[in-house]
Amino acid sequence: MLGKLSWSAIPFSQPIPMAASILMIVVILAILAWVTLKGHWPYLWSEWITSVDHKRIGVMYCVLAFLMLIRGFTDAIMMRSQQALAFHAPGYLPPEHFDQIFSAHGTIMIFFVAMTFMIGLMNFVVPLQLGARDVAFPTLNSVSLWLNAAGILLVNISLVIGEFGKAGWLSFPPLSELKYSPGVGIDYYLWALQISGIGTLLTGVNFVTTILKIRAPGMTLTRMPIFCWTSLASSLLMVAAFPILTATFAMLLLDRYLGFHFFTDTAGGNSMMYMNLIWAWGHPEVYILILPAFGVFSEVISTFSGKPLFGYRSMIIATMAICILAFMVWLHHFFTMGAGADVNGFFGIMSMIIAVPTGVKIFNWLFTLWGGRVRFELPILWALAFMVTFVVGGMTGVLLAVPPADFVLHNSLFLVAHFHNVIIGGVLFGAFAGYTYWFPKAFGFKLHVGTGKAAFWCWAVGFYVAFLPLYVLGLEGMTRRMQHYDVAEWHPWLIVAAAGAAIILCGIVFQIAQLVVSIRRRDQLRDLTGDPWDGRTLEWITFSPPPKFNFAVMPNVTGSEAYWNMKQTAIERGRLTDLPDYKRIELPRNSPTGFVTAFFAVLAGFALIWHIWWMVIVGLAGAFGTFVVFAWRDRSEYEMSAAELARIDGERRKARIGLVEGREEGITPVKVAAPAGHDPNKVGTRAEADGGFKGPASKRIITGYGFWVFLLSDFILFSGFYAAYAVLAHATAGGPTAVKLFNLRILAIETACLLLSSFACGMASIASNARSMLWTQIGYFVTGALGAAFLGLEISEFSRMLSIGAGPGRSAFLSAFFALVGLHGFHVAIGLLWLGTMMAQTWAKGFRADIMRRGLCFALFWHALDIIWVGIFTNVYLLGTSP
Amino acid sequence: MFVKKTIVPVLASSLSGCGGVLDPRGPVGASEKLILMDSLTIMLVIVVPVLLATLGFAWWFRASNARATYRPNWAFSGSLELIVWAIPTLVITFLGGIAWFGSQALDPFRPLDGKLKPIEVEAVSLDWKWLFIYPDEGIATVNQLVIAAGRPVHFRITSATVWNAFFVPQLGSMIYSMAGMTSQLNLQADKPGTFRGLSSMFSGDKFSDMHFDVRALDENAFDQWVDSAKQSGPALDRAAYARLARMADTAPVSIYRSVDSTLFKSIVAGTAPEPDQEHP
Repeated sequence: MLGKLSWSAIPFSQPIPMAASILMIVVILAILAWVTLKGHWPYLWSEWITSVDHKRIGVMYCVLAFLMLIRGFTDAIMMRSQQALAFHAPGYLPPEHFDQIFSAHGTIMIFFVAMTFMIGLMNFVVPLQLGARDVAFPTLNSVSLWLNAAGILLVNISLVIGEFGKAGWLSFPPLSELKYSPGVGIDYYLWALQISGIGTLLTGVNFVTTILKIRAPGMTLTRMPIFCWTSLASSLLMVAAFPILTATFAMLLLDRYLGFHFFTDTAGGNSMMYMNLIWAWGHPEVYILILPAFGVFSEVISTFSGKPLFGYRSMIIATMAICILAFMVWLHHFFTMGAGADVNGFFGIMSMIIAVPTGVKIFNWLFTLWGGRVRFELPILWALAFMVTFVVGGMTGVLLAVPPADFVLHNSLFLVAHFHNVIIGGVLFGAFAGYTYWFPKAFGFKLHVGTGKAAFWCWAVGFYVAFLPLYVLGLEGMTRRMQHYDVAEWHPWLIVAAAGAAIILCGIVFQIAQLVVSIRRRDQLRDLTGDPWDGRTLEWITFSPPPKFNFAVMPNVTGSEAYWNMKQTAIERGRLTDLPDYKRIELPRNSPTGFVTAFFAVLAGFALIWHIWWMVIVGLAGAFGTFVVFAWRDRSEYEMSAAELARIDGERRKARIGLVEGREEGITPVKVAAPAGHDPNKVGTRAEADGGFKGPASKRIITGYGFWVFLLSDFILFSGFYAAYAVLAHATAGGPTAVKLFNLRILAIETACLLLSSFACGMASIASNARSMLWTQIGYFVTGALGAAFLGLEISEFSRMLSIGAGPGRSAFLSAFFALVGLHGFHVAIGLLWLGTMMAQTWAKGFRADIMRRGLCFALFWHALDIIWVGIFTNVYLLGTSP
Repeated sequence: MFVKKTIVPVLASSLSGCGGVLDPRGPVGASEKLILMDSLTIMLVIVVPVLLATLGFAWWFRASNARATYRPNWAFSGSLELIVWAIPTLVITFLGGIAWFGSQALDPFRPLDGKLKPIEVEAVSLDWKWLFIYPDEGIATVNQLVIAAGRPVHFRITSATVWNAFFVPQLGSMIYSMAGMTSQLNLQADKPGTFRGLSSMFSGDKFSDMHFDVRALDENAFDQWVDSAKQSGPALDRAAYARLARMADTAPVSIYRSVDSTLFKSIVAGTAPEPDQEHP
């Protein structure tokens, strides 16, 4: 009934985890009780939990990231104090607990602090900077958020029920295989990251589509704020890299749950493949984190220097170069595997090449400061600390990219110091710069400066005190993840490092204090103009906090730094832009889809971890049901009238009158060098969009485009499994080979079924465009029938192979085969479910625009499955059986 | 003053005196230290000015400095862009050369130059101890590696459990030990001495105890040690190996007077006795 779950899963006998669990439960119960007693539930439900507004979602991401920062930092403090104490002594954390702590620390800090924070900033800022009303797929965005929260919840449940992984933040096999890690820890790790990984992937799809298809009229790509560029690069990396992670974890899960042999040390499994796959995701991942941070720093340095970003186009080139190079360096994470001199040399050089565009960025920031009028507000303090720290971290990174140097520094505390140097000094400082910079936009008041500066100095100083000793320790030969040690020279440095962690703790305390003080003094800190920093990009044109619709009319962009130009023109002319022509707009309605889906995802994830199979079915069915309910709804949008918009925008204009009267503090009047053909009287009205970009695309285009991006990620998922197959194709471990197993005659029939079904699907698309219900349904039915026939034949082939003992447990080759072909079959099964739902919906509701859009996506999906199958048929079956 | 009197000596002594990678005792470690320091120096040439410029620019162009010129529209300069791309490119070209030739010269699999015949050592990582087999001498040790100073050592390394990494910081390069595979490593100690060796890849609960001493003896003492080892301790046959592998715990330093000559090969092939209980 309850699988592996029993009372022994709760750590009653271990005081530290027990105390932590009880504290956590008490805090959560207290918050829930407070919310209930105060009657905040309706507000929370309608304004936050079900909100599909990108700004609310962004704020919720940042709140989650802050909470997880505290959790992850608690782990850090425990590790530092353990190592400070454990000289010739066991310390206070036994190994089985210490191992969980460093594994959880890494997992939480990367996935649920750094990435969550960056995605939060992207969510809040990107649509505003683009002059858009929301992201491409608002409800999907809410699903992403809540799936991320589901992952977070699972990781934290592991604190109370069961245990967390003990194999490090990347869970390398064979240590993470069932043989060496039989507990539920690795399963918690894997399922939490699979669930949140889907959320991240969807975020990537959403933002690629948003940035490329939904921008204000006139905002060509080379007029986009640099933060949008870096967000685009980061989103592209999410789309391209996360499927690899999903595939890798799926393989490890198959090993652990169904006895496959991808990474085991028996039956031909290959643990080196895991290293390659995980780092093929892992290196792009660090750029997913750092690129948005680069964008934040670019905005901050430019704004507080009162200057445009120096070398804007150079910055774009550098960003995109990093984006591509990110995929060519993964091997530098394991030079010590013995790949050979040429391979190591090549990847060493590739890794260094990434330092070129990064160095270019540093220089461009320097020249942005040059000739500026630098105001030392909180955001730029973080940015300057970043520049100094990141240069040091980058240098040690290049050092580690030299293979012979890595041979003595790999896995040492030098490495630990290096990546903390770039992740704290880069990503986290970037997150804090962005947090202090955009906080007034999100809430309408600035953050308190005094406590903010205290927090800044504690973090900056604490960082160096905590991590410079780690560089020394690495050079002294101390390796990472040691629970105790007996080398006397290490001890003093570890005490210093622990002191550094304590200083950082003060920084976090000051950050909490800053938030409390700022909220209490919000009336003094209030900003009524919406532009407290003399900003340059479009988010500063609207209210703080911005209304749901962001902009009453879409701003007309006539150059880079859209808002700065408008502002200067207004100051020059002495009046605001002309009153625009307000038109009614449609806004997405709230939806609980994301929250409910995540609820079922947690249920399914928890059930999978504990092998409670009935609950898995409940969870999956629930999630599917939620999507059907969402698809079934009739009204997905509500309207706002032109008069209402005019009234709200009138208030904004009234508040901004001070700008042209020279009463607004901190605004720099500058004589603008007018771009060619620039008519100051036309700025800011919707009258004409120049520059060749006409504004947001139509819904049909956006949906189709987004689905293509998703399909791209799906192709990469298959590529991951195909790569594994290519590696393992000859690892038959003495078992049957492809020639003996595959029955080409049946496969030819399968292939014919699938190709014909695609043909039928095409006919259905034509029929639905012609609004013929009967032929549409017939077309879909034939599609489904042929798809089902394909699936039936595949299942019978599989069961034939299983019955002769040629199952996935027999050899690594068969594992890879079953996984690759099974993944395709799984896609077909999903397609059939989708098809059935869509047929019913089309029947019930007719040819509605949203159903037609979904039909388009289905057709793309189904044809893509054909293409993938043709690849599998030729590469796996034909090639496998050819002599 | 404080920096000069306190921090510098402490840093210097702790970096060079106590068994770290900056205090190499063999040719491999020495070359690696040289590459490390050269690369660092090359980068510092550019990094230090950048650090100073960051702070200097920010301070000079502070809003309250009336002497600084405000150039609100200065956002592009073609020649500066060229320099900005050129500087890192040149540095990286230079460092790239070091990386390429360094990784050729110091490839762990590459035999060391020298006339003496290398000592052959087969190293096996177990839970959580190291087994060293001397196939030529027919002896084996646990958690202690004895070598002859001035004579190259050729390691063949595998794992009977999860991944580990074999690392002696003062001698140089580390390399992973992986089940079912053989890694190779060539090291040498120049002078007699005792160095710390460890596993530098996390491998489970008692990973922290997986360290061992490397004793480099002069040639005569080494021969004597081999002779005495042949007289002491039990024999390492398959049964003894099974007991060792199944212990799943740390182990004291010990010596085996003889060893099954096919043992290493069968560990790599996965046919040696395996730990049959759960990984604790």
